Amino acid sequence: MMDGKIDWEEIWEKIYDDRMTIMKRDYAVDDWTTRSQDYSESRRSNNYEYGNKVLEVLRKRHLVSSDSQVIEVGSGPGTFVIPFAPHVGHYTAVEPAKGMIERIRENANESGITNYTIIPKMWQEVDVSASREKFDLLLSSTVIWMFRDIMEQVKRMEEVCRGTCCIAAGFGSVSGPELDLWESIMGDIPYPQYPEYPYIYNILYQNGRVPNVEVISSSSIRTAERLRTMYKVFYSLYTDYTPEVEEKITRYLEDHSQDLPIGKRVVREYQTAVVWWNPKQRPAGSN
Amino acid sequence: MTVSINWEEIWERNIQDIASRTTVDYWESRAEDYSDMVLNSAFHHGEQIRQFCFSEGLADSESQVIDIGSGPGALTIPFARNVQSVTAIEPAAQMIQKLEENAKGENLKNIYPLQKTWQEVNTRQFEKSFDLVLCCHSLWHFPDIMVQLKRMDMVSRGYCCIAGGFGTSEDSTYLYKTLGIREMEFDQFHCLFNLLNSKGMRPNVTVLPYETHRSERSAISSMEQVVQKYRPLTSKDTEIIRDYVKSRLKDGIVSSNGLMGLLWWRVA
Repeated sequence: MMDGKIDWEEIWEKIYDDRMTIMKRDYAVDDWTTRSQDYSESRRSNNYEYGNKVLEVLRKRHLVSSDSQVIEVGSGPGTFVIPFAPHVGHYTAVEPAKGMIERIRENANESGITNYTIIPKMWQEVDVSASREKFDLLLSSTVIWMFRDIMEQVKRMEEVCRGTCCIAAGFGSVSGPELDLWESIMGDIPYPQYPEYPYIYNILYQNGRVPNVEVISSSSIRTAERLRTMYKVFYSLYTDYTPEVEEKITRYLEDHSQDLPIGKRVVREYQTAVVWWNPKQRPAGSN
Repeated sequence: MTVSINWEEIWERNIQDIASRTTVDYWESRAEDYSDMVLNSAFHHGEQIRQFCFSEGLADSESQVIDIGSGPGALTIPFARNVQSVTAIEPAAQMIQKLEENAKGENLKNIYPLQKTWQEVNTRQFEKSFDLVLCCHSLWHFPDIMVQLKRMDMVSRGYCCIAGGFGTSEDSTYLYKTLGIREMEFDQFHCLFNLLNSKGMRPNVTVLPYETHRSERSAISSMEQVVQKYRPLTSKDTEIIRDYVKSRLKDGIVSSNGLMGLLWWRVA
């Protein structure tokens, strides 16, 4: 198609703005502290299955080596720190939320990982000019939906990278019981979009990058109590968290918990697009 | 907000015209120059795809492969050297003849040509018969792309891998613009990427570099025939093409580099 007519960054901004119009308030850094325990439990599922699968995608292509200098934008509870650090030279985790930083330290300590540094800042606050081309690999997982100025932030990521940039991006689509829960609480208000993929691919492509993709599947296994925290933060952003809302969530969690050998848990299966590119590569013939 | 773009309709609208002009007769007349390119390039793009498929586990020495739109064997030959068998779907008799010559030249006896368009192939007969379905530089024959992709899924018990140009090549940006040929302007890779994702197929994407080398005669002939899909060749066209080829000729060979975009998935 003559897709020059589609401005993918404009679409990205529009989706971001549309989400904001139905939010009572935007996410605050402290929300991620509140969510750090449930997020950590989710990412630790099946012995860091998600992080290990992303590691495997990159190792297969020889994009990670024992002397790699790695930086991650938005490390959360150590989603990638724990699987990657044993296989690289040094790992720099950019993460602003105190709770998440505590989880990184706990999880690293448990795994005997010491070759990491934490920059306790939002990515937007990091002075990239001081770290120009300092890293062989830049990672980021399910964070970019927070950046309205997506290409500005991508360019800043590329600036600190001398090797490969890799964004693990969610598909953001919701269906089935999750959507039913939303509708039972929010009525006709459409489910907020947290789109990352394939939008990010289109944005990179339109900006002359040459990205590769592998789609991976992974499980998230959490207790109902931990998930309740997640829902409390999520629905508080969109509505008043009343006892009626809590009751609906409780019922939903009861209905969707299953008996596992480790006890009752809620299991979710996710697909993630692992997108990686060389910031310096351009297709032949492009400007 | 959900972004709703009908990629299937966009594909059909843009491909219809290209597909109707790119007839079997067109490929009959391209057999000579295309085979020249494939041989002078030492099967480069096919070998690149073959190596990728082996390294990713899409194929191995035991695999049975089907190559849709095989032409003179750009992919069929490199795969046949390394897998159990390759079924080559190709409607143009001259292309099959080139394929057989190229196979004979390497003493390859595991290639099974089927002189048909893909649409004519009875997919029920081949249900789940192949570990890998390949379709490279041929998708623009299918305005009804989803129907044909489903038929590819049907004959696969392993993977499907479709491939085409990624971004724009030097030829399409300069020469065809000068000649007023617009078929290269439609970004097939980008449309297919979004089409497959919009259908929930979520393909993996691999971009591979490739190079082509061809004789002066092959370069001129291929470009002249692309123009003739649209209009009779004028002396001005001939002059533009010859000047262009001459400007890029080195030791009797015209070379160019490009990128291929591969969209691939495991069949459920």
